[in-house]
Amino acid sequence: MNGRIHEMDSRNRSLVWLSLLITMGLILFMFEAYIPRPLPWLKPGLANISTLLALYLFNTQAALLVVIVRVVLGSLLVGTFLNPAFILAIGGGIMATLVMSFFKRYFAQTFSILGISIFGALTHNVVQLLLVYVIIVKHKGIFNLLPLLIISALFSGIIVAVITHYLLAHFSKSKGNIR
Amino acid sequence: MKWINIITIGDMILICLIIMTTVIISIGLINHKDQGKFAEIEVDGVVMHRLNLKDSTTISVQGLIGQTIVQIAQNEARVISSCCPTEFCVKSGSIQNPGQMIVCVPNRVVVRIDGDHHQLDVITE
Repeated sequence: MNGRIHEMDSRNRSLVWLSLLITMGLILFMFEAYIPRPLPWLKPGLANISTLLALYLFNTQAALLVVIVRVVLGSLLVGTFLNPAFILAIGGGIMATLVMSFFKRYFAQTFSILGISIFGALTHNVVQLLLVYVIIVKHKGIFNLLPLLIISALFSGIIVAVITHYLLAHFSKSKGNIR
Repeated sequence: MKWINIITIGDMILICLIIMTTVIISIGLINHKDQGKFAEIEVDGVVMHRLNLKDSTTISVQGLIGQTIVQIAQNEARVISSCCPTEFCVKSGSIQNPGQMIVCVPNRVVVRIDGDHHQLDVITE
């Protein structure tokens, strides 16, 4: 009996944690829209912090849940639900999460959170460029943007990793038994 | 722990690889732009010839109803004679900028300048 209560308690805790992570991702996503930037699609990708936290505090399924719910709710908030921008966001987000969890599972010794975050940002940008090519532009000229996207993925990956690193240190003190 | 302390050798290699890839692709793109402009000759939507504008040639293209003769000289392409009744393609004159085109509707021949660098956004006629 005691064990069942404990199990329920743990499930409720993870529910609250995931909800908070999704909310955090949404707030960062909305906040990011107000940062001035040279090109409209060149974003730091701060919302990836919540995905990375879910991946490190929980597991792959939790990270996928966070990214999907965040993208759906975010697109409803800014009015891009089910249009091409939404497809780009969800495709990039899911692929980035899968790649990050792959590297976290099999190359945890080789890459720290920094490398994993960079891989995520890189996948996100490259997948989005491919999706743009397949869905919208269909002109090879857009691959000229590749170097810009790769170098911006490097910087956004580093920024996200550093912030997530400090948040993780903080959360692992306060989280207790979150599983 | 400060974040700088958690960086592994793998991370460093990854960062270096990314920077190198970016530099290599950028250099490749910059060099690629010097290739010059090409005239593409399409018949019924299929690219039949792709000629460098620097080469001076005259080429005869078999269209739907007959021959169209395209001349490339002095970095310009033009249709010098056509079997079509209106000869709008001949009257179009010569083209040289990427994106410009000469269209011969009866013969289904399109001459188009293809280039890496578009000086103009759009051309209306």
